[in-house]
Amino acid sequence: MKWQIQGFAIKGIVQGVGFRPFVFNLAKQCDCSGDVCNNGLGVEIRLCGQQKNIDLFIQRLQSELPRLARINQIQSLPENQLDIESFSEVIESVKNNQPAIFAIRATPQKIANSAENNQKISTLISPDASLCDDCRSELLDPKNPRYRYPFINCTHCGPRYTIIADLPYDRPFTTMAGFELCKSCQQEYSDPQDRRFHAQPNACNTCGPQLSLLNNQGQPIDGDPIEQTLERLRQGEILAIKGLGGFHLVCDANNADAVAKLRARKHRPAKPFAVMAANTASLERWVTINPSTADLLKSAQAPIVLCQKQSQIELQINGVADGLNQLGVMLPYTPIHWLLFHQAAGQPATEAWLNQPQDLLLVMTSANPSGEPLVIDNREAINRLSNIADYFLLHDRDILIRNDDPLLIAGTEQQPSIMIRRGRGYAPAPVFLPKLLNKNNDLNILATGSYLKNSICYSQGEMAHFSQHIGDLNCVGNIEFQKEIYRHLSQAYQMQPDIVIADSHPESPAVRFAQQISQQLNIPLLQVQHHHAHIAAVMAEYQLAQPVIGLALDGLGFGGQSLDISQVADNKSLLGGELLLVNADGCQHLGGLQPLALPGGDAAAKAPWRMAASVLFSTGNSQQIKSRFKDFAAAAFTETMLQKQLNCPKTSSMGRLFDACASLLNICQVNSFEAEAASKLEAAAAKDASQSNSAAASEQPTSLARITSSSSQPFVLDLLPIFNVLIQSSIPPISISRQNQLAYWFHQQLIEALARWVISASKKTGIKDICLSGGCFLNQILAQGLQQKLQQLGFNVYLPICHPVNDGSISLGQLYAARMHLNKVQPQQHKVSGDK
Amino acid sequence: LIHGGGGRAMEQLIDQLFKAEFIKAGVAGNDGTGEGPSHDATLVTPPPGQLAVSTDSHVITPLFFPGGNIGSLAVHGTVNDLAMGGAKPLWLSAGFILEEGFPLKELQTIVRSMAAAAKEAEVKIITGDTKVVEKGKGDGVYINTCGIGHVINQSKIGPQYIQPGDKILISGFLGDHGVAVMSQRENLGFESEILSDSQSLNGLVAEMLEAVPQVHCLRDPTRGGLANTLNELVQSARCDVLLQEATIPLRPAVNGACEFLGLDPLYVANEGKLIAICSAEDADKLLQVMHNHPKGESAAIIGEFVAEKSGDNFQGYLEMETPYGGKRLLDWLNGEQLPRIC
Ligand SMILES: [Fe+3]
Ligand SMILES: [Mg+2]
Ligand SMILES: [Zn+2]
Ligand SMILES: [Zn+2]
Repeated sequence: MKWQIQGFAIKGIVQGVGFRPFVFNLAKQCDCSGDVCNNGLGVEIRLCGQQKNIDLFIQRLQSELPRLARINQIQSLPENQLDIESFSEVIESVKNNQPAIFAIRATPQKIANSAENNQKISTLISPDASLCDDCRSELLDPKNPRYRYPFINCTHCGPRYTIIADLPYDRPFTTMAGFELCKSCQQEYSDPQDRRFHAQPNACNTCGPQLSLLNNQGQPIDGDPIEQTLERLRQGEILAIKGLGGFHLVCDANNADAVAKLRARKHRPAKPFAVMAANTASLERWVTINPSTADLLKSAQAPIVLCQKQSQIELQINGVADGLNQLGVMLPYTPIHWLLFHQAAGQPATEAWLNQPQDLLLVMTSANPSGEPLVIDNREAINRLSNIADYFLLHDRDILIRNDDPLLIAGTEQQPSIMIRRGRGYAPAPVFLPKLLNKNNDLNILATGSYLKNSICYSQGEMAHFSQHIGDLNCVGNIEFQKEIYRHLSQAYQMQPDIVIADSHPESPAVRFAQQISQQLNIPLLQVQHHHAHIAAVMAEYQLAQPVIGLALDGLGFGGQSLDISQVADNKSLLGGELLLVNADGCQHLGGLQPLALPGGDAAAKAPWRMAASVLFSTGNSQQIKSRFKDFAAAAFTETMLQKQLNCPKTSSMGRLFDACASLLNICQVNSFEAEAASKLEAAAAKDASQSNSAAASEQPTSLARITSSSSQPFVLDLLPIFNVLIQSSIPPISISRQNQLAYWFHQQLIEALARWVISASKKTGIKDICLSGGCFLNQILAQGLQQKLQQLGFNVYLPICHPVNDGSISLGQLYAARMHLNKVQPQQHKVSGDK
Repeated sequence: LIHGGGGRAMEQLIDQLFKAEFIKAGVAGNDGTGEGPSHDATLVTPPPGQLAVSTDSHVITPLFFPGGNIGSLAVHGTVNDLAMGGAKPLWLSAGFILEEGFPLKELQTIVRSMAAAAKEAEVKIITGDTKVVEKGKGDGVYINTCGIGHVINQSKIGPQYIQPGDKILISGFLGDHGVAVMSQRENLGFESEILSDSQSLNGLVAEMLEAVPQVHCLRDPTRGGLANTLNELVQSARCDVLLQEATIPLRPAVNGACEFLGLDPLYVANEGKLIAICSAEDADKLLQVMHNHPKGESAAIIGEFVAEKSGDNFQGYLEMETPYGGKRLLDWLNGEQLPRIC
């Protein structure tokens, strides 16, 4: 029999996810002998067997991957790297036609220390994963020893990142350290063929964590915690339930009084809540779910997905997400969630209920008092949430790192789902970056992100650890949380930054943090301007390095220096609708929207009518300010402010123009939560009947916008002519169908104007690659419309899918912009982290 | 007013005007002899113990505002700086830089306010100086005052004495001065007129120190308002601060005006308010004393110093708890209030 020796190095998320047992079993099935071990960057496999078997192995390796594994690269190893000497036993056995033997080897010292692996990564921290189907079957099987055990898990599911204090990923370095494995759990843990081989949080009723239910005085409630919890939810009480990455506040979504109580106690009057149901069959009463959305909901990441509401939903679930056309939904992802739904279904012994509609629908909202970090600690929960929650469902497995639920927008047949908030299930999985051509490739870079929706991105060579959503840096909890993530990643991966990157915001805690790191470690600090970072984040997702035209539309980012060589407007300019040329060196500001006054600064962002007043003022319609906004005491005064330019900084923000439009159409005058006006404007446009009228839809609107140029910007886009028409057409009172119609018309005009803007810049620069970014592109009518329009015109359009289009990706963009720049510049004399 | 050839004579004339007003108010000289402030050195006899010295230059547009003018402000500013050092203000100097063409009548009003303010604060103006600059080279009037005070019972007052757990008291409503000045400058005409709080605080401080000599720190939250002043204290005391929003005294009119303007009243200037920091045990007693004084009748305990949260790298946080239990960072602002919301 002819046989071969082949070696493979596999990079990706292949450690701590049951990859080696998978390889072990697969090799046996494919009749290959050999071994597998972890190395610095992933896994190394040596095979000995027939060529066709080895080919089959490699093919199945990729198609049957364990649930949490991800392969980024399979590289064939040359024979001289295979250390044939240590492989001789295997070769001998194959030579002698003995049955296939396969071994899981310890990481060889030689590899651990080799120059190739100077990054010293031994394992990757994998994100937490939803309960897998096998564990769920065991959980709900009355004959299984782990029947109704709320902490069941295996190598394919359960907590990871949120319980890991340090690497290597071993039980003593997790919050499971205090629980000693019982004999049978230990056996599973040590058996390479078991689903729980090296499953660090492995536990059972005998040896593992336990649930308890307390009232808001901290006193325990008798009885089965799951049973008691459900009963209280049914009675309309509010429960704080400990999850994977933090606590949730939970109530019965079908009970409008309970929802109203939760809103009142949380001081959250209108911001939409997400709901959890037992299965997609139950959710279909409320929202449309296509097959790809169903897969996403059931995935290991188990995100919240924003889906289109069924009509009439508001009559039935009051107060959950009123006035919006989307509802955030999710499926159970921890054993505790499953047990609640199992209980609600009457503890059925068979699994048929899993596919049948169930009536229980739960509001699940992150337990973070007013924008502060998520509560993760038991005592903290009772201290901080006792005025909101009536009862607390707690357990004694500690959460070490908070990680909020991830949020996506559901895709359609033509369109993949889109990430909005990176969280549990996704973070801190690395983003792989292109290799740099010089020594700078080995530099560790820390990007400290934006002021709002902060995240950090921390790269080790080509691997960028991209953090979860941290939140707005306007409270100490979040500022310290950012530092905590930095310290945690530094500790776990034994790394230290060589360069630190900050936004050009003049007064952001993220910038101060970067300055502190720079001084402490004596390393260079680079600034990347906000909108430059937005565009670079898209380039990171698509691994672009060629020059692109970037269109960044958002609420607010400061102008300023970018990478020492580029300047995007003045340091204190308030930008938010910008056209940039971004290349490997830096960026060039091609132009922004015609600036408008922002009356009262941040007050204008909270009150769309103020921005509408600014538009009325700028178009010579001041006399309408008082009559349109007579409900607002400050209206007349705002006119005075505009005349005197009193606290009226100029801004080129696109977000504020959506506000202005929503206000002029009387759709929303005050934002009670972020982007309320913009979301409601989009919802109105989506409802417009003329959209489905194909004749009207295919008719090209004549663009009203003007493109002018200024001394510093060759392309300034003036949208005021569109507003002129809008003002004349929206004189109150305005009917709902007229609102919808004008909302849709505004979107079409905007798309037309933006396309023309891009075309002008493309003509001048010859660039056909267009990156779209910024929070405004969460508006799907705008994003899809502009993408299609530009594609029809022959442009290559890049719109983010995997990473948030909003400020959540600023850190990734900062990092990518800096790396592109470092690809060009000579390595400097930096202190490299190796010498510590 | 003219400048140039007859300038010297003019300055002397004005000196006479000042002298007359100060003598009339009984705030001239240091010995009660009725001598006016002198251009030459004035001799004073220091009391036993420590002296405190402070100087401040006053430039403000407009010169006249509801509740005061640059003259009274120039006295209050320096008197209060001395009082915040735990000193009883004794003597002031006054240096004027006048713009050519400035109406004498307005100057007289300013000087009278100054005299009245000094009288009320029980300080003497013992020396002064006047210069006239060309038209267009000054904004009407600039006034520099320098003050000397006597330190009351060697008190240990300063940010270095602040401890975690200490309470923070404010003597009254915040933001009145800044809003009054802006309203006047921009002719905003708020419905209910808002008056500047410009006033001297040495009388209040004297009673506070008598009742609670061990006050840890006193500060007047002038430019940058309560928030920036507390941020300075956070840095020098090396502990964090947690304020309770619901307890901070704000006049509805001032709050409303700030809302209209999009300003945070906690960053708006005050000219007649003080922050006092004392141990938790002393707080109620101190508050009582303040309540019993007309300049502290709206005083309140608004928060406390807490152990710093930023670990090995001290950062220093000024945080405010909202009535709903949320917390907001009151960041240090270097310049104007910049928009932050995306
Ligand atoms: Fe942004
Ligand atoms: Mg002063
Ligand atoms: Zn499992
Ligand atoms: Zn066990």
